[in-house]
Amino acid sequence: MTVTNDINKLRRPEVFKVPEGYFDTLCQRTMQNIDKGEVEVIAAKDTKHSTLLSIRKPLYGLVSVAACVAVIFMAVNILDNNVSNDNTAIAKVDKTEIMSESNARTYEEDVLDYSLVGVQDVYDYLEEDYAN
Amino acid sequence: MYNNDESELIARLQDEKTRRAAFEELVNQYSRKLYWQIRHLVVDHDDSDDVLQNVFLKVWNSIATFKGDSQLFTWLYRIAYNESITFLNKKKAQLSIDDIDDGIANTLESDEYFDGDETQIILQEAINTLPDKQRAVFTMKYYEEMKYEEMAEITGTSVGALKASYHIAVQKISAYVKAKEL
Repeated sequence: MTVTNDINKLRRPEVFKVPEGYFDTLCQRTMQNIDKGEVEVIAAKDTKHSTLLSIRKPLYGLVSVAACVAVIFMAVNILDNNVSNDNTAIAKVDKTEIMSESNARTYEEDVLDYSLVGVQDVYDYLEEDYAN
Repeated sequence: MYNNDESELIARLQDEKTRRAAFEELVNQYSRKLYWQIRHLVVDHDDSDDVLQNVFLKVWNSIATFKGDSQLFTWLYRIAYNESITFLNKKKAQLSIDDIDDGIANTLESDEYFDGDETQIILQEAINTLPDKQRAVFTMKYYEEMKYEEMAEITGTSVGALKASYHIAVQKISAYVKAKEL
């Protein structure tokens, strides 16, 4: 209680002053501020559709959509090309392998056709086989 | 919840035809009380005036939706309390710690609308050390001599918590003042 009493002794609300006539003009100033606030709100609503930005706003939207579509289209094309290139590469590898096999087969055929073996060799082989 | 005069004033405030005249009446009736509530918390006159103008602008914009769950004056006080706390938070965010420590004494010494001696400046320094909400509780009780029940409605805090908060605030301020005077 003593502490509260000590503090209460210091209470001097009158040390706070206001400018002369402050409360006399407060109501008028407040109403002016309110009118100003209202005018700003109304003005903002009225000019909303007439500003350059507001006219351009729908165009910005359309342009954005078009840009997105273009980007997606390009991305799909790039991906598609990559896939095609991959497929071509695979096809090339397959073709090479096939051609190699084909070449191999041709070599064997060539061997079978005695093109790489001398005729004398064949005769010798046949004579030897017949003798056995 | 409110008396006939208040009920009639609210009805006129909510009717667009009579709204403006009724609002002028409200400003004339409550501006002093609201100003002093804000001033004791915010301290600087110009800041207090700005906060008060914001309070009235908010009241004007939301009076149509006032449901009368509390007394008109309590509702006004609550808006003033919230606006003051918001203002103090913003101000604190803008100032550095050094500005806050040095600020209050320097501001009051050069403030033409503060007429206190050194003890009064120390008292304001002490109040300024309190957290914002505790400062609000202290100033409402100390300067406005408000009842705890009213304060509870304004701050949305229990009476017990407010009593404890005020008691601690008094101890803190007393200790600060004694330490400075020694």
